[in-house]
Amino acid sequence: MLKNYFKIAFRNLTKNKTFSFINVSGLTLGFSCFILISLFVLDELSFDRFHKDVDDTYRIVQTITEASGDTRNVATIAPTIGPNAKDQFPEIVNQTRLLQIGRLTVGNDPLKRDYEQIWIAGPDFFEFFDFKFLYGNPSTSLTGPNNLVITESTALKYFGKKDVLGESLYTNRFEATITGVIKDFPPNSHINMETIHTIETWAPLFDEGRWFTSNWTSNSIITYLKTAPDFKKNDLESKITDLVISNYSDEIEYSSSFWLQPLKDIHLQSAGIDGGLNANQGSNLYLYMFAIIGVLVLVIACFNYMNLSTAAASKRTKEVGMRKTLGAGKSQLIMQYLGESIILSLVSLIIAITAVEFLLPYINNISGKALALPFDSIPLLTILLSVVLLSGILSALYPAIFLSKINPSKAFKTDIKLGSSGFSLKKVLVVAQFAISIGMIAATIIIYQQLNYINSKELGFSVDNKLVIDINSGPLRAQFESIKQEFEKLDAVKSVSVSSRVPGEWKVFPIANLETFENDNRSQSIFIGADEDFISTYDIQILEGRNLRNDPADSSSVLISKQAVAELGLTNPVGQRININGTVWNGDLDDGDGYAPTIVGVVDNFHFESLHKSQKPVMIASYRNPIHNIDYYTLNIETNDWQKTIADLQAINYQFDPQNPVEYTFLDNRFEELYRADKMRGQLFLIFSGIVIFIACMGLFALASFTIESRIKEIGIRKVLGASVKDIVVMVCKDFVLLVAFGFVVATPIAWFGIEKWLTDFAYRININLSFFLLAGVIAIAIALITVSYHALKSAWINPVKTLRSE
Amino acid sequence: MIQAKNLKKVYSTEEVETTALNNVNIEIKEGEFVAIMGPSGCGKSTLLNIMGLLDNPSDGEYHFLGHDVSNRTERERAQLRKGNIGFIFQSFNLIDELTVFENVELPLLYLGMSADERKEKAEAALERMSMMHRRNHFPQQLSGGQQQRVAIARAVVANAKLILADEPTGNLDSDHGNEVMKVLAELNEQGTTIVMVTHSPHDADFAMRVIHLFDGHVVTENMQEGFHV
Ligand SMILES: Nc1ncnc2c1ncn2[C@@H]1O[C@H](COP(=O)(O)OP(=O)(O)O)[C@@H](O)[C@H]1O
Ligand SMILES: [Mg+2]
Repeated sequence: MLKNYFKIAFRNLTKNKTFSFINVSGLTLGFSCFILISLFVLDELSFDRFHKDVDDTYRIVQTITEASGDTRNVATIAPTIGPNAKDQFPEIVNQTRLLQIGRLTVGNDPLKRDYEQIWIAGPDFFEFFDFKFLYGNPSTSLTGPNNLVITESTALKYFGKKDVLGESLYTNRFEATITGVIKDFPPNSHINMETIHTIETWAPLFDEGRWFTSNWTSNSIITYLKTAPDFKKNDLESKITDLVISNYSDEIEYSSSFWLQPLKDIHLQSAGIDGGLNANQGSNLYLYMFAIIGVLVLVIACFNYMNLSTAAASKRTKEVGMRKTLGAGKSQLIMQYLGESIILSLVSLIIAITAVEFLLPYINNISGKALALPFDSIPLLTILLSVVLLSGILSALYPAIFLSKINPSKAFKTDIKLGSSGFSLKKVLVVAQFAISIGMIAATIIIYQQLNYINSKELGFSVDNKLVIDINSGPLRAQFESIKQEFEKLDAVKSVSVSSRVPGEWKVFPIANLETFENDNRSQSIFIGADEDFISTYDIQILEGRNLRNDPADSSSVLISKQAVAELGLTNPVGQRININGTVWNGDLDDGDGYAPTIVGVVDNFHFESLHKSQKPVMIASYRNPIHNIDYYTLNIETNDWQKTIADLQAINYQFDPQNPVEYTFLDNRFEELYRADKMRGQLFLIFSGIVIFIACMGLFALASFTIESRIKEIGIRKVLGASVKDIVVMVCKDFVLLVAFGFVVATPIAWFGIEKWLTDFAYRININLSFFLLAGVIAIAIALITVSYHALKSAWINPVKTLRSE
Repeated sequence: MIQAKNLKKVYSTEEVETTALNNVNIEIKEGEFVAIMGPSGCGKSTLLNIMGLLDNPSDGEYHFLGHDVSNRTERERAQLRKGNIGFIFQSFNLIDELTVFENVELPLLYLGMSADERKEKAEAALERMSMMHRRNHFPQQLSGGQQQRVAIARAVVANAKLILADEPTGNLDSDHGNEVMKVLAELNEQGTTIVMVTHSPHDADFAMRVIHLFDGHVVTENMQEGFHV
């Protein structure tokens, strides 16, 4: 019996080659997308779950409410909070802290030195978390001055081997001893570091370590807690809040509360939390979006199968009638049909898995993930097998039930028409497919429009042909004037400026709290220290007053942007003094030191940050300001030989500081980097909407073929009665176009809502209107027309004599 | 009205070449009622299709209403056909999804007539075939004889000068068949030229002239008793 089913199934599949090809390729595409997206989603959900105490581990997050009423969430808190809370609250089983303090030059070989971030971890860090040690002792490796734990790739980078326990490593601050080599942090860990330092190494910098035990207000250290199983989260949160507030001095102008973020939420649910460490941060929004797309693609492929099988079922009425006459029961027929579709699904799955295996390396390359098909993963296998069964069953159920209902006496007579009435499943499915396609096309169009908008938006300064060189060491900073002169001597270098910060998001911009002496207005402005060449190098417009001068007499002069003038409500800004009531560094307030510079000029507004953020007011102070030292050169370069120019620049740098490697960046690349994730999303949408519309079109193609075949006689009659080719094509296409148009109506509000949500992520964004969706609809209709017109034209060209001859 | 000289029609498929018509010479005058008889597969339908401008002959000459139409493009043939020729088929070939009225109206639609004009003409044709009371029914709800009357209404609605009927009674019982033949005879009396393929000698009696085909040839051409041209 079973063999018979298989035989029939196989024959049916090979007999209707187009039909089988479309079904298998549609399902294969659907499965491939689904598997890839499942891998992605499972990977996103797996973040940090490899720690055995993941369910009891939390990160402390601080919510700061400023005097102005603004609130911010910060994942970096004061160093005292973790240890004190642990001592006082028994529900805290353990705590550990992480602190990032800039970079070091590292490497025994002077020619292969590089910069590494300095991560300082508490001594218990490796006992707290379950990162794998290759060499060394997890419980002692982070104690003692100048001891250093590194990852295996860092070991390979600087030593060329992994087993480097006890060896020493040059840094420009101290001679480090390697006390541990760990496996690289897994790609699905929110914590990712290269070198991990002990507190003792850096204690001298922190008031001989006293800072760690006495500061209650800094926003600098990441603190993780492990809690007892039955602790009350709300209680602990308010206890921590009370503890910290009781240690605040009266001068604190903001209020704080603390809450616990579960370790497993850090990766996906940290939007709106500043600071802290979050390697490859993800987002719930995109996770849901991808999960939905994955399911949709699969559903669309199943719709195809369902539609085509139903259409094909009308051709199988004779076979089914015969089987019934010979005594086949209803359930047997349904089983046969289900069997066929499950076989088809399985074949598609196998092809899809092969395709995915083949594609994964490329996808990992693009996404920076390490996705793999884990054939031993029970959840994945369960998902895949249930999807095959489910899609097999869903796809076949409708046609199977339809066929099994056939009355054998009728089955022989004529081809029974299916779903020719106004409302039919077939039509609903086509509408759904095209609704999804149109939604995705619209999303793609709008994402690209938005990216275009961002790329073409006037930033208020020029990013082109700018090379930024970091000032990374004391000697370079001390001799910057001579270095600048050397740079300027090069032909390719048109101008050079030094500044404390450059546009783009490299490091945090200090925010200065500006106050006027005239009124009560305040402004929180980005603070930049720069020399007089900054304005000309970046092509920033001076609207009023004059530029800064390098002259020491100008050391307390500043320029402020139009927006700052507006926020401060100044009518005659030039010549006025501004009080700087402290600066905020990464959420940390630095008290002011009586610096009250004079405004010498007003500059036009410009965007120094990504357009995801709204424009901030800016203050450009003389580089001699007491707040922030210079950190970068910006060189305006015109050259045909970048390699030579860069080599020349490196040579100059080396002359002044042979210890530290040069670090340079092209500013335009850096700006592109700001929108890399958006671009990737745009590309993904383009790919997925391509796939979706492709599958939908394959379905439409086959469906059109079936529908037109079933109308071929009618078309013949119409032609005999005088219908032209055009009349026929219009008649046939009209129905399909109507379905697509209906899909447009369904898709537009849903897609509109989703895209609007995505756009809220940008401070500068296009406004969407119906025309984007109409364009998507027109594209979909055009594609549908092209698809259908093949069959429509073919049918219209047939001589009716042929189709009416069957008597 | 129709002059065919040395008509030849060859169907070539991959395997075989079938000569469906060979050296057929026929002349039909306006107002005639001609029956074509012959065994199955002798080329009757093929001849009718060529006469009805649905197909081109492989060789020979064919004149319709004074035009040489032996080798016209499909578009030209369709243009000439419109409004001039009505077709009646053995299996009625009504469109199931359309009502009786809509079926009858269809040729007028393709002639580009206005809705009012269409309504008037279609109702007149239905009236003529005594089918007005069924104008809103669907074909499947009618008897075979009624369906064929609707098909005839559709054939005459545009005032076709020539009606080509391919075994119009083939699917009908004798009562209904007779009814249809009477309608055709009436049409002929009112001036419509009719060429009809039939197997039934009884039906052929309604015609003035009977052409016998055998294996693609015209074997005999008899004037019926009592008819004189
Ligand atoms: N489209 C076609 N392709 C190939 N052969 C055809 C075609 N139409 C008719 N024939 C062949 O031409 C011959 C005449 O057919 P037809 O005119 O339909 O005969 P009749 O109507 O007299 O039964 C038959 O042998 C038939 O098989
Ligand atoms: Mg015939």
